[in-house]
Amino acid sequence: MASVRLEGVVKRFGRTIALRGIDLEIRDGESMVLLGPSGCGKTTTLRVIAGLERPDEGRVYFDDRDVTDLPPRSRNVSMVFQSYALWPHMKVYDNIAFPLKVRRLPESEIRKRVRWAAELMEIEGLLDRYPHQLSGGQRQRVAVARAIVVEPEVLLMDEPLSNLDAILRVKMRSEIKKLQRKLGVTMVYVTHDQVEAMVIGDRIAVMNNGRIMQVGTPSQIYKEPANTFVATFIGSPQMNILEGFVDDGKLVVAGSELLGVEAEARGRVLVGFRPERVLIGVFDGLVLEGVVDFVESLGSLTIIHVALDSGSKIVVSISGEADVEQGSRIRLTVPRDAIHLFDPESGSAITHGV
Amino acid sequence: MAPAGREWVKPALLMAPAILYLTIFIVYPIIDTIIIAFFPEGRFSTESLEYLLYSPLSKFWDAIKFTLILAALVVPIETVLALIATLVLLQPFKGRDTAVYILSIPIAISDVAAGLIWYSMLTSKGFVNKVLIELGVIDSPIYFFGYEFRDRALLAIVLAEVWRSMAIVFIIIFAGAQLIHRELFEAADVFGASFWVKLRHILLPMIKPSIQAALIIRTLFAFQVFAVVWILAGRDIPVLAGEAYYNLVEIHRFDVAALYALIIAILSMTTGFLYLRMLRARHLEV
Ligand SMILES: Nc1ncnc2c1ncn2[C@@H]1O[C@H](COP(=O)(O)OP(=O)(O)OP(=O)(O)O)[C@@H](O)[C@H]1O
Ligand SMILES: [Mg+2]
Repeated sequence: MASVRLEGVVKRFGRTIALRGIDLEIRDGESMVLLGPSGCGKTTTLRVIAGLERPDEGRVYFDDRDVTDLPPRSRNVSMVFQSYALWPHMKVYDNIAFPLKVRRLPESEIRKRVRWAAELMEIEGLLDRYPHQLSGGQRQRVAVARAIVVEPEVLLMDEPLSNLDAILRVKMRSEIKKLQRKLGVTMVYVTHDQVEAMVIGDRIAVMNNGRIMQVGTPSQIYKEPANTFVATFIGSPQMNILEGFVDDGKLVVAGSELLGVEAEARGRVLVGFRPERVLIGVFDGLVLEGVVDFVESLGSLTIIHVALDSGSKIVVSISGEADVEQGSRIRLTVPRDAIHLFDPESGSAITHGV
Repeated sequence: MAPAGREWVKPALLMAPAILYLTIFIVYPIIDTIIIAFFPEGRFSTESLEYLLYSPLSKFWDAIKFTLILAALVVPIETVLALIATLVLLQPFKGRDTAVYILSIPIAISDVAAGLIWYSMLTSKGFVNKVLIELGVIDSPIYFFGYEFRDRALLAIVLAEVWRSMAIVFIIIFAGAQLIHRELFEAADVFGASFWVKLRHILLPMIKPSIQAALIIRTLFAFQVFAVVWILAGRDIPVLAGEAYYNLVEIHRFDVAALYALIIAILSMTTGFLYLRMLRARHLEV
């Protein structure tokens, strides 16, 4: 096993800059999730770690070994490709067995390990088929099986579950997590799915536009987003962001005031709060008033869209059923510890809780 | 749906153009050739066959021998060279496109022109001898042509044929190789495959269909080798197509010429069939 360290990695493709200076340390045995919008550089980061892409600037280290100039085969990594990259002329069995055959394991050992990986991925009945005879989700599981069948130092997974149905996905993601724990392998896992990210990741790196916006535990990312990008990217529905003003311990936002604000901030700020932290009624905190725009009932969740008197719109999420009617007036409270302040220019967080 | 009992109409109509084409351009000529070869005066006769096999003037067995020798030398050599070129040119490097272009040029050169180019290069006063003499490698020119230098002429023919026809093999194989998704090689890289493992277990099986196509096309054309041989060696090195030409144009034995044509056709069809059986790409079958 090994830790992985990227130092100032820049990668350009012609005129597009895919990575604009990535600094990231993945600890030995840690599972790191890369999360970010499409095209932000997640796959490119994995490819740099695998050695498939040579960075234009910066270095890559496994433990303290500089592997920047090492070819993929000298790095002992294994990878699930976003496009699966199964060899079409090999049966499923041979696809999964390939890494073992290359490592010249004895035939009986190979058979045992392929069975094990296939059972874990629930594809043991497909070993005798060619990839083109499989569904997308089955192919994807073959790709995962091929990646876990060896014991690599670093396991790279590029959206390995994106094509599975909801039930299978939940099951597979806990299998992968368990396996990673058991083997203690260092893993970098790319996903679009926030819940998956929270479940799989010991830590999450949120990326945008070739940069890392924040690295932290799932709870840190959720509770203490480093900037407005992370704040709005993580969580569903999105965090509400309103323009506000801080002066002498007083926060003014959407026509309401909150006193006793102990923040460094002065002048214009952005005020963020999560929909699920807003309370209906008047309590201690920032009190907002408005009219219910419309209500979405999702069963376990009710999402209320509110037009504030100041003209801004916010979203409130209440667990269970909520007794509100479209068009009625509503008063809401945002608790002090649920308020995040951001710098309006840079978007960086100033404080979490006021 | 067509009404019951008439389901054959649509398929038959769809196939009709192909069948018509095959009849006019394949079946009819073959039948006609058989008639010319075996019914010279409207009656069945094996005279052409007897001439071919037993006449002291016939060079049939030599022609078979040299045609097969040439095919057995030229086709494997150019296939291996084309594979090597493909391997090199799959790597991205500066000037790659230019190299691909240059390698493909011989496709545009006719076999007669190719024969003449190599003839002028290899004559006693040709380019090759001049360079070798200038460099002091040899004192007097190496003779490639003439009956007593048949082996060297064969070498010259192999050279010229490989040069001329490697391009088409290269283009077919290279095109097939370029269709392979880059990530299939990268996956092999990641899982620790060496250059040889990648070649043996990824590239070769995946371009098998292209190699098969190239081999079929090239072997069939190799059985018809003519112009280059005719220019470089005349009838000193007889080949099947050359004998057909000689019988037809020089001594007007139409029946013998037709028989040669039939033999070339049978040889080609058998080989094509064998290739298709041997090189089947199982993963492409449904
Ligand atoms: N081989 C390439 N040539 C040119 N541009 C590329 C290449 N690979 C990636 N890019 C560009 O680099 C940027 C990052 O791509 P990357 O594949 O890393 O994104 P991603 O985060 O994995 O996206 P997705 O979630 O859609 O898979 C994109 O703008 C992409 O267009
Ligand atoms: Mg990607």
